[in-house]
Order: sequence, then C-alpha cells, then structure tokens
Amino acid sequence: MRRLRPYAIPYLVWMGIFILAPTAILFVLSVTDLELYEPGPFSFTLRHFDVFAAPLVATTIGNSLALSATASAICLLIGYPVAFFLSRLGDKTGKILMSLLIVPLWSNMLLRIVAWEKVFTPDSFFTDLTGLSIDLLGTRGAILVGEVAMYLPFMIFPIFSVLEKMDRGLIEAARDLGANDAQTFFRVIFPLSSGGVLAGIIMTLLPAMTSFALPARLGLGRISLIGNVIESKLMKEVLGSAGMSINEGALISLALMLVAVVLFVGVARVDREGETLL
Amino acid sequence: MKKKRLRYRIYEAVGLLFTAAAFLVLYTPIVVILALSVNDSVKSYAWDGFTLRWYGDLFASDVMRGPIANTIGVAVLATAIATVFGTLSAIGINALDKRRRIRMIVLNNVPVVNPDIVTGISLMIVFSLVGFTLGFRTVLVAHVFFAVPYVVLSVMPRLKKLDPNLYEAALDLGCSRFSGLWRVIVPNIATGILSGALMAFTMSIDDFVITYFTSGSEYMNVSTWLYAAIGRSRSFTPAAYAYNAIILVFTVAVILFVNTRKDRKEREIRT
Amino acid sequence: MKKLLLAVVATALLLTLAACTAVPELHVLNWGDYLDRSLVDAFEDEYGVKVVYREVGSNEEMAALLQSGSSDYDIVVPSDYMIDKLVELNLLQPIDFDLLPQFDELTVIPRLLALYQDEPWVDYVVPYAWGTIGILYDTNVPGLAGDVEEKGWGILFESAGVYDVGMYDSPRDAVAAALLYLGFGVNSEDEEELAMAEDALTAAGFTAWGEDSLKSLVVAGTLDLALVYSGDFFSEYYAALDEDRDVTFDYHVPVSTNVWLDAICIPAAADNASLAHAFIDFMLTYEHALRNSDYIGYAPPFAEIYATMTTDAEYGYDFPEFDPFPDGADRQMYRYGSDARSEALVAIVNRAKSQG
Repeated sequence: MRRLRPYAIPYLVWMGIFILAPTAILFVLSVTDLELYEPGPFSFTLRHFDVFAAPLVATTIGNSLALSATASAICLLIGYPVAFFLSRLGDKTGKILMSLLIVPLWSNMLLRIVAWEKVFTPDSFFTDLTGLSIDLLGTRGAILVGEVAMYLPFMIFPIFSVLEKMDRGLIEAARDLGANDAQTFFRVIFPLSSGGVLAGIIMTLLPAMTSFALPARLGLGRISLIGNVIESKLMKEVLGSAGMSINEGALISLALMLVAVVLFVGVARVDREGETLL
Repeated sequence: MKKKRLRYRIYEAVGLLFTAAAFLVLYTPIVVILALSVNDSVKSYAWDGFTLRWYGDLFASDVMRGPIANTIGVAVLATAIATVFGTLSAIGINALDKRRRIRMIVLNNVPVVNPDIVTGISLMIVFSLVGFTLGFRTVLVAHVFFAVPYVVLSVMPRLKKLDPNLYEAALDLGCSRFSGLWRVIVPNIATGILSGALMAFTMSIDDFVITYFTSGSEYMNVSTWLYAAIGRSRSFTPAAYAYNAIILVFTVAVILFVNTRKDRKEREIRT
Repeated sequence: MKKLLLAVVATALLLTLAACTAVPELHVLNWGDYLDRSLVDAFEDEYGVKVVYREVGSNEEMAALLQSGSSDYDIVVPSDYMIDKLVELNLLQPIDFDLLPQFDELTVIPRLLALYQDEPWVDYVVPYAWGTIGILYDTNVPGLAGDVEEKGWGILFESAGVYDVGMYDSPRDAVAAALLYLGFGVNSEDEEELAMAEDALTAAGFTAWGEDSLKSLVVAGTLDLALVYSGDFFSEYYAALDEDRDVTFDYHVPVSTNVWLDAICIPAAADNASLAHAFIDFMLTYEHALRNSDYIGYAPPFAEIYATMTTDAEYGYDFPEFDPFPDGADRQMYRYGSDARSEALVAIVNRAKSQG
C-alpha cells in the first residue's frame, strides 16, 4: 500500500496552492493596507479590525448568529426524526426517499428564493394557485423558512449516513440489558450519531450565516447577514473606500474561515475516522 | 405484545409526520417553480393561464442557451476532472500513515466546511493577484477545487473497507500498476466513486456564489445569469423555470434508475 | 520528400487559418439589455469585424474592470458620476469628434447639454440615454396618488407607519433623495446637510431596501411606493403593455430631481480606438439611433430622435413620464465628489439601515 502514497502528492500541492495561499493572502490583506487592485508597498495595520465595531457590521453579526442558529436548530429538530425514520425503512426505500430529499438541491437556488417570495406575498401567484394569502416578506420568519428549506437536506444527509451504518446489534444489546426506548435512544443511538449531528450543524449553520441572496430578497433588504456585508465590501464599496473595503471583507472572511475550521476540528475529535461528513 | 406494537406505531407515525413536513417544506418552492413554468406571463404577478411556450422558448431562443451550455459544460468537465483527481488522491491519502492521513483529511475538508462566499472570495483574490482573467478557466478551476473534496470524502470510506493487501497481491500476480488500480481497486470502490461524482455534479450545476466571484462579467452560468436578469423584464424569461423543471424531472429519473440498478448489481454479485 | 511536402502544406494551412482568425475585434462593455444586438450584428457585417460584447450590472463593476486592466475595452457606457471619476483617474480618452460625422447631424437636447457642458468630462462622452429618479407608486392604494403629488419627496420620508416605502440600496441615490427632500443640492459635501440627510433616512422607517427588486415589489403590492429610476418605471410599464395587463402604478417626478446620463466613452487603454469611433458613428446614424432608443425604451439625448419617438404615432412615446426635463422643472446631475464623500455616503446608508 505504501506504493500508492505518491498519488497523494499532487493533491497536497493543489491544496497548498488553493487553500494555504489564499488564506495567507487573506491574512496579509487583513492586517496590512495592501491594495488588491493596485499592489504596491504596504505596511502592517490593525485598523481593519474596526470594521467589527462599525454600525451595520455589528448588528449584522448579531442577526446572523441568531438567525442561523435558529435555522440550524429547526433543521436539527425536523431533520433528526426524518433521518431516523428513513434509516429504519427498508434499505431501498430509505435510500430512495433520502435521494428525493436531495432533489430540490438541484433546483436553482435563486429560483427557489423567487418561489418563496411568491409564497410570502399576499394575494400573489401563490394565492391564485392555492388560495392561501401569506404576508411574510420582510420578516425574520420568511428568512428562517427560506433557510430551513434551503439547508434541511444538509442536516438530514449526514445523520442518515451515520444512522444507516450504525450497528443494529448495539440497539439489541441495549434492549437485552434492560434499557427502555428513551434510554436506548439517549444513551446509545444519539451519542453514536453525534458525529453526523455535528456535521449537519456545520453544514447548515455556516451557509445560513453567509447567504446573501436569500436575506436580500426574503428580508426585503432590511435584515443584513454577514454574507451581505462581505459581498458589499468586496463588490460594491470598492471605489468609495480608498480600496480598503476589500481588506475589511478579507478580514471578515478570514474570521468566518477560522470559525468553520475550529468547528470542523471539533467534529474530527469526536469522530476520529473522519467519515462523518459523508 | 399489543403495547409494543402501539408504541412503535406511534413512533412510525411521528416519523412519517416529520418526513411529510420535510417534504412539504422542501417541495413547496419546487411546485411553485413548476407552476411558474407553465404560467402565461413573464412577471407572474398572477396566474394568467396555462401554456407550454416557455418550454418551446427554451430550445428556440438564444437567451438561455449560453448560460445553460456554460453550466452543463463546466459541470460535466469539472465532475470528470474532480472524479479522477479525487479518486487517485483518495487512494494516495488512504495509503498514508495515520498522522499524515488525518492532516490531509483536515485540509481536504476545508473547502467543504468553509462557507462558499469565503471560498469564492479566496479564489477571486488568488486569481486577481496572479493576473488570470476571470472567465471560463477560472470558473472551471474553482469548480474542480470545491468538487474534489466531495469525491475524496465519498471514496475514502470504501477504500478503508478494502483489504490493504489486495493491491500488492495483484502486483505480485503480474498486474501492471495501472491494471492493479483499474481492475482491482476501482471496481471495489465504484459505488463511492459514483456517489462522489454525483455529489460533485450536484455542487457544480447549481453553484451561484463561487461562480459569482470567479467568473467576472464575461462568463455566466445559469445562476449568475439569473441573478443579473431577475430584475430586468426584458432579459428574464420564464424559460428559466422550464429549464429547472426539466432538470428536476431528469434528476428524479436518474435517482430512480441508479437506485434500481445498484439493486441488480448486488443481486448479480450474490448469485 | 513526402514528409517535407506534408510539413509545407501543414504550415501553409496553419498560416491561412491564423490569418483568417485575425479579424479586428471591438470589445464593448455595457449594461445588460442596453443595446439592440441586431445593430451589433449589422455593424459586424458592414465593417467585417467581430464585436466581443460584455455586460455588467453596475458602474462599480465597470470601473473595477477598467482599473484591473484584465481586458482592454474599446467602448464603455458608464454613468455621469462614474465618468467624472474615470476621467479623474485618467482611464478614459477624449472623443475625437472629427471622426464622428454623424454626430454633427444630431443635436443634443439643449437642456440636457446645459447640465454637463461645464464639466471636465464633456469632451470624453457621446451621450447615450438619460432619465430621472422619482417615485413609483401603486395607484390602487386609496389617496396615495394625491399624497404623492402633494408631498413630492416628502412622501418617501414622512410615511413611516402610513405607507410601505422602498428605498434604493445605493448610497448615492438614497442620500440624494434625502438631500432633495431637504431642499439641498444632490452633490452637497456640507457635513451639516449630510447629517440631516442621514437623520431623514434613519427616521423614514423603510419597508424595503433594494435595487432592481423595488419595481416588482411595488407592482406586486408589497410596497406602496419606492424610489426608482425612470428606467425601472418604463420596464414595468412596457411589460404591462406587452402582457395586456392593467397598469396599476404610476411614476411621479417631483419638481426638483436628479437627472442621470449614460454616455459612450472610450477607455484610455483601448486597443482599437479608430474602430471604436467607427462604432459610435454607426450608432449615431439616425436610423440606428432611433432603432436603438426604441429598443431600450429610455429617453434619447438627441432632439431629432426624441421628436420622432414622441410625435410619430408608430413609436408612441408620448406619455408624460417619458420627458426627463419638462418645462419649469429643476434638474441636477451627479458629480463624483471626493473619495471621502463616497465613503461618507456608504457610512450614512449603513448607519441608517442598522438603526432604521
């Protein structure tokens, strides 16, 4: 098997270029005044950190954490029972239903957002279809529903994978040893599936915090998430900010990346085999 | 005995309820999109009558042809490249000692856990600094970049189950290194490769954020085209809904096919 | 011998192929849906060249592309304030009007010309389209039409709790609306005036902040009114006419407002400036200009084209909202101002959004 090791080398180089290099660049942009579009001499500075205190950014971070945590929690509350249920069905049925739950992901995200806009507009196309007139545009509720609809499959899938592979014998053993259903679940099943749960949380929490098209349209632009701030800094504010908006955007991105990696390393510790994410 | 059955029935009912709720939440927008694809109106402020003309438009007019060709082109190419690269890399990673393997897996998972806006920006910055014009090539590289980890993650578990000596045995018996890979290792991890490829394709075909940052203004896939066109009534066409509907039908068909096919293969192996 | 012959033939073929693909190219950077492509095809045929046409969605993107220098464009179509900045950054070259005989056949509408003829960038532009910013409102809402006429800009800022108002998510336009509401100039750099503008924006309690999405929200009824560009109104108006729908909305321009001007410019780094001039001249030909303006649907900057579009029954652009500068109106045009001002605008809007 050692003979096969060299096959990993190109990948190492590739990852080096595409992960380590950008991270290094983001780091440099975050702590210096290097201008991305007009590179020249630059010096160390910590002033970009002020962006976290800037009015819109601070409220945004609060909103993002609150909303995405709620969305993630809802995904877990709905997703776990679904994953459990599907994993108990016959092998074929479970897999087919699981796959059908992923099908909406193939549908264009923006179109799904437009669809939800119609659902949440009173007296709209959706009303003509179903007779229901829902007035939720511009509310956190709309963003929440949109996010749950967008990310639920990402919660269900890892939990399903883990539950599916779980050794059923363990459950029987627990029964034999006298555990009731609640005990079996909370002491055997849930802990064993924790890797999947954590993976699901990572796959829903971070994307929920960083989406920008969804809050812009479903929140009517009133509720800003971190994704909106980053997008604005990188694309819209460039000319009017002496070029430093890109650096601020880089800093925020780097912070996000740190959070993501820390969470992931946490998962890796819980599940040493590194299998949980799929 | 009856008590047991009732409890399980309740659990089943609850499970079914939650699953139904999940399907409701996930498929509501899908149903709306399907309805929009047959509505006789561009802006669809209301239901204006049934029509199939958007499906016709999809093939007849040029508006979406470019973005669709781009989307599918990149998805197919990126999936092919990512699958080969990912599989070979996974084989290599699997052969490493435990410490190095874990390090590689952490590295591998960074694009997976990183929010796509961060990935998009990092890539955009790298491309800008190196001086690459944003366009088809940068989008392809970006898509391969975020697809490979899914292939690796999909293949690794199967590789682990494989007998480590199988490869060596094959070589001892006279196989060339290539044959050893292609005829011995690959068939045993085939399901992993396939599901990895499927994941890669899924991630690529609907990608918006990463393409948005790495495509510049020249190159458009369906998602970035939509993002630009959605506000303008002249360039937006409900053919986009039709396109989506077709993709959905196609996907469901593929899923049903793949799932029944696997069954047959397993039966073949057992007999 | 055979090998040598093959080599010679192959080289000859390659050379001819290379020559075939060496057709002159014109790189155009424009807004989406902002030029009749059939005219582009006609230009390609007439001049035997290839046009590489790229679309962007904002002035900022256009500027970023010109600054990064990743591709050299021969034609760009930015807006007034961005032209101001680009000329300052030396990214545009003056137009050689001697190369544009068709320009002499047309007259720029005097009122429009007066708005920018004293600007430093007047020689760098061939005007393309112009319009206003104003208030799009839902005519189904009882009493709203009357309120809009009466209050003008006030309707945007004094309707908290009464109407659902949408504001344009562009610092320059949002602050301009506030400044106009307060009776100040849109290019004001006065700190006090800007502070008052910020207060107005914060107190307004907008229901939505958006760009392209605002017009659809008004027509759908989610918003009662919104700050929009004249082009947004036209887009919804023409769409309603096309689909045979009732027009349940209208566009009101208060007496004093901002005029936007999009113009054709040639970047300083253009590869093919002479071909660029040829393209502009082609587009300035009366029939082409008329056809193009009809395609876009916005007000043309040339008196002759404007007259035809508004008086000739075949075109029918005689509805009142089409005229960007009617008699008795007061119009202003954006200047870029300083970088500090641009930063301040962004900060003002961000603060207003987080507290509003």
